[in-house]
Amino acid sequence: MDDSTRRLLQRLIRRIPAPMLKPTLEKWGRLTVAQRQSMDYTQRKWPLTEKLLSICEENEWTTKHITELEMICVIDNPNQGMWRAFQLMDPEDDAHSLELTQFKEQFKSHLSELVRHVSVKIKKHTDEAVWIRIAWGDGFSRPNHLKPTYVVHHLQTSFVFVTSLTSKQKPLLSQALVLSTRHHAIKDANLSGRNLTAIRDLLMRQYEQVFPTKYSSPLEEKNQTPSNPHIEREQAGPFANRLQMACEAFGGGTLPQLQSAVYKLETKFRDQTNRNMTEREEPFRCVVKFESTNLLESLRHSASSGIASTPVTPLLSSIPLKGRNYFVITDNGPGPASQMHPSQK
Amino acid sequence: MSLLKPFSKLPGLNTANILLVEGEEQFQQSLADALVEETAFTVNVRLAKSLPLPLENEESRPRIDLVVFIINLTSELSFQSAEASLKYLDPGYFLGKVCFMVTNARNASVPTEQLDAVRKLAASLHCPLLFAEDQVCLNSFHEHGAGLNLSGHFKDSHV
Repeated sequence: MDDSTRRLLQRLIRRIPAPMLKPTLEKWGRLTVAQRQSMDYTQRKWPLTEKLLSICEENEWTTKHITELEMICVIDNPNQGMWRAFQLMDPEDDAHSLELTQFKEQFKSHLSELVRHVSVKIKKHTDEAVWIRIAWGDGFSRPNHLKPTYVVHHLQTSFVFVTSLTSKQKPLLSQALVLSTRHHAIKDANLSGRNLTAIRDLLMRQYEQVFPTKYSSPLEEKNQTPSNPHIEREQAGPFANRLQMACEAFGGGTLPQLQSAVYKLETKFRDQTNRNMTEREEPFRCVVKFESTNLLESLRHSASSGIASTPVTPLLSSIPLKGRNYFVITDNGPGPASQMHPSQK
Repeated sequence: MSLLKPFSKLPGLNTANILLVEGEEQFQQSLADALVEETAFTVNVRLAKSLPLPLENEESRPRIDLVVFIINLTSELSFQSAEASLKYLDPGYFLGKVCFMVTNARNASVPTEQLDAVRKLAASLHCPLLFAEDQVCLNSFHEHGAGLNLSGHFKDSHV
């Protein structure tokens, strides 16, 4: 058995969390009944790895088989690593009726044309997502299976999610995607995060949306209104109002878990007390970064508790509205700064 | 200026009305739940974010017997909101009907100036200062498992 295959298997077993080892191997289904029974999952990972390596020799597994297992493992546990979202632009007429088999063939053939040695594996998941695993090689070397790129695409939508892609590989992947999905261009959606399900839910708006209502909102029942008749809230009206506006801006219920939002400011310095800085012509460049374990939840709470003023400023509400967490803010108005970077709020 | 007046209404029979004022509107909920459990007499609790209280409730509001200002030491806003609300209380309240409650005093990140400022404020108004924490403890006394830890620092106990 190949040394690289051994290494790949070893690394993979290390990555899988111990309680998930048994179900993942069973899902993979490449162990015989006898081999499955001989695995003792109460042992620590090191002896288990050795056991699996010997089974691997027995069954003569190749890299192809191991990458199958890796894919199962990543699909079940997608919230690791940094995912970036891309958006496909300008679809052609037949983009909306794209079929899976057609896409698979086209993608594989386009990518192999662009890169001499590349290993592509495509799998359709039960929730309509197409998972693609790409191991990149080049004219001289075989595909490197230790650093694969994963791509997730929902057919007939314009969103693509990618992890572990280098800047050299990016144009190649973009080309292959654009051609095989029948679009004309692909652009960065300016959204990234650790949690794939979260950024997908955010872009496709798969969380509870709250719409403005003209008459007394049902939210008043859902909020922390004390049920005890002895307790009464004095400012119940403004409280419900703030809660309503916060939920309208960010959504109700559980929100997708974003970890950060970055604002790159290229605006002029504005401070009455500091003449020296305000008199400068060039914009004052700075970067503001918000970080949190659940950023949208914290922003919604700061709006509903009155820390952030309501109605929620468009700078914050455009995170869920436009589905992005990287913004470049420039002054609105004529000037070299706004010509080069049109204000994208 | 709509001052909250202590004696402009008749008191309730065997009833006490407490007003909890807290800028963050968090701790007051658990404190209210604990206060209404008093069985010897009826305790009504009203929750507010800040003073002045809305005019719409003026008619239906009973006489407030005690006003408690809850200040979270880790938040500067909390202290400022409480200070700003003080002006909307009739001076009659300060004869034993106001007290200050401070949360998160044991938090290591709190600068000592914050606590000193609150102490000074309480002392200048001759009001007691209480320290509290919102803790979930495995106490058999409370069935729902949430407990409050109160310790008093009574400068002048007019309560």
